[in-house]
Amino acid sequence: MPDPIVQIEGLTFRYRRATEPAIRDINLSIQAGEVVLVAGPSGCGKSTLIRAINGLIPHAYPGEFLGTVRVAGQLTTDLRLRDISRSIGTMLQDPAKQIVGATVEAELAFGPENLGVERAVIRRRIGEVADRALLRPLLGRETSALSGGERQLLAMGGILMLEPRLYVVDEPLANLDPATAGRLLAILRTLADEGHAILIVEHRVEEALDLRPDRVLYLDEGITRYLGDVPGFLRIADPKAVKLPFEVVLERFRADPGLARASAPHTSGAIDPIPAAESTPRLAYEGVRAGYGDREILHGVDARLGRREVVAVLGPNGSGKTTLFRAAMHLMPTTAGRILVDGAPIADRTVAELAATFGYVFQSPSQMLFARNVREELVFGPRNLGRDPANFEAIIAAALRRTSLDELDDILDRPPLTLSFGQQKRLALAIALALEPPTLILDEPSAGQDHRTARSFMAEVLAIPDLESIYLVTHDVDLALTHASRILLFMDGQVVADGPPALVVEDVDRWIACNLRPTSLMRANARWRRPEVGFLDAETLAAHVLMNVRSGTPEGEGGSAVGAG
Amino acid sequence: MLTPADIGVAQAGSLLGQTSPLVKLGLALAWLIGLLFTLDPGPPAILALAAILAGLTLGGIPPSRLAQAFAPLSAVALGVGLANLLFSASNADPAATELARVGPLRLTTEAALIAGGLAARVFAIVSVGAVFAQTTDPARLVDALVQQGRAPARFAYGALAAYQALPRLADDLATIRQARRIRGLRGGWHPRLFVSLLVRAIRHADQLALAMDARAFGSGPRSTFRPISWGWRDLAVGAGGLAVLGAALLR
Repeated sequence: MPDPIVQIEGLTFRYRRATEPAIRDINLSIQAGEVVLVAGPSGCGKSTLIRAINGLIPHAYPGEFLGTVRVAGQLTTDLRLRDISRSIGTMLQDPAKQIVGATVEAELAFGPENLGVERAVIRRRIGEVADRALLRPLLGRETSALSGGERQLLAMGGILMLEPRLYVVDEPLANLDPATAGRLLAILRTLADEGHAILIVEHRVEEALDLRPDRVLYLDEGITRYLGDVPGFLRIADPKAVKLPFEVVLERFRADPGLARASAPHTSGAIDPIPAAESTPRLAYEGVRAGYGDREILHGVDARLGRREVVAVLGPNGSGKTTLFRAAMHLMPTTAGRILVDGAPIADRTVAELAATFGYVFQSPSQMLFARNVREELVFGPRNLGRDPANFEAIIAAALRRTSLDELDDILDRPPLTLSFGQQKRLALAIALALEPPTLILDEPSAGQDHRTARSFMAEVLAIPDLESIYLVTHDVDLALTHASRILLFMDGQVVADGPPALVVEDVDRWIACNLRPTSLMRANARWRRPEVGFLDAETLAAHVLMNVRSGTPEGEGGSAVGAG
Repeated sequence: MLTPADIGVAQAGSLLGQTSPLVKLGLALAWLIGLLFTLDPGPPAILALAAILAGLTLGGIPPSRLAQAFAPLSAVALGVGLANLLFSASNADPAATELARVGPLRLTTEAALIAGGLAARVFAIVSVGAVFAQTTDPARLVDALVQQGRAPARFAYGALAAYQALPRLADDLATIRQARRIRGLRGGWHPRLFVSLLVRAIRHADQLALAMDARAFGSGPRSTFRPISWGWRDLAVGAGGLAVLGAALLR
């Protein structure tokens, strides 16, 4: 067997300021042509492992380092970052924000320039990489003018330029619409077929399986829970911690009835939908056009969002999904048409008044946080809206309880920006709830969270009493289908489809045109779900499929249908 | 004017676009320092005019684009001039020559000269800055700083990254202010706003530095994909620019 590209033996690493090691006793070797998937929930040690492989640990992050990491046979502690980067190319999380060059060519040339590669060689490689990473149409453009997906492909191109033997990719799917994610995975698969090695970190296991990994390393709390082939991994992975294909969840439930029983039955929450047509809608758009400066983003939107509904807005990156709700909050001017809230035009209402109707939770929670501590953060809104100070304590307590933040010690005195991402997300929700709005608007509620935290976040949202409606913007198809009573498909600033999930997904071509992809859960729901119930999540659907088998109903053949009933 | 502009093919291929950014930077500084030696409205007016003409002819900047680039700050120049014309102390000096009387206000020639001088200076600074920004590709500026100016690469790329981060920071600021507005503030400015912004900027800078390190930045001698060498344009533009400065000051 040839020498491995990377060989890790007994690696334990503790960051300088941490009390516990981030990873413990990791053993892993990666051969040329191999694809290794590293899966696990947030905080499992994935990022630390990557840093240890590409040399940022210990060269950029000091700490206690035990064991050995060898790249091409040499210890990383003895190598310089420069030497390591000849063998290992790393695409860090959210690479779109890490572009250095002012133009596409400058960005591609940056890595080889750092290694002192000759000009003629760089020129030739730019040509090759442009074809491979689909960047040919972007050559000559300024990087600041690229879209998010284009920047992501460019970041991939920047790594390809270095011609490393191992590509290390950290959660590449998190910020991409499914179509762009698919393109990126295809590039990686081709590289592996050509004999390069790939190490991909991803908790969206279902999508990552498209890469056909040879082995999976499953980490939890810094410890190796599993290292082996894919079928073995799918037999042991926790369906609550990582997102598995439906068939796998079903198989696991079949093999372990206890697991199935433990899965709580699906509840659609307290919201009982009344179609918008039957009452004055909470939010109505009539021929709305809006945008930033000269750039129009909404090109004539007509839509009605009901008082008692969960509506999910799906569509490609940059199609105007977020703008739709910013306009409704009066945060940006409309150039044509009008927006009505509870039947009255918003032109007459202030942002603050609208905030009492819509609790708006931004995608990036840190953009909402600025107060000295959590208490200040929570009373800020009620105080500005002139609510009675006598009720503040009760409002704070309720907001913290509904977001499970009350379980943290001394939460009220904590500076908000020192909380973890998941906690900040909950605090952002608590801030919105402090104004006691009847409707919540959630922008990308699952982004940046792993499967487990995203699920429990949504479960908490649905359990909030007195909430009439939820409108959410998301890329997470399964989240949208299982939670929403209605889907708005958005493309190029217009609504291209509007209806119950089961109807909207029927037009597969349109679905794909909106940069969405059919998921295993969609196929499973189409096969097994009873028409009168909504889309079921993987565990509920699997539990019901098995229950019906046991109670004698024949399973499969498209004939049997199950539901929450 | 300060956002990284897509400078356009015409500008990039023009005489000024092909001139070394360092020559242009040096010349711009020389002109601005030259202006310190005079209070007359004449020299700054000549330099502003020269910069605009050069930008339009030698720089290939479309007139509408140039106007867009300096319109906002030209308004500042006018404001500065007007304020000084109306409220200059020399208006109250009985020895000063009266130029005109507007209601209770007495406007003097001395005030007009000072006002004109100040307005022309601001206008000159704005014009020079706009022409520089509109004919200089940021990537070339960094290359020139490193290759010709012998600036450390880490410094030059750091400056470029900061420059490119400006539009995103502006977006961030807009979103943070929106987040405050939905909690009942009427878009107000508050110092704590900048704490959020600073935290985000530092986090971003940190990530960027790691991404650069992971691509072997600063680990040894670099090569250059776009070599920049001195040429006749640099000599011509440099000499021409200094001649204009001399003529403006010594006229």
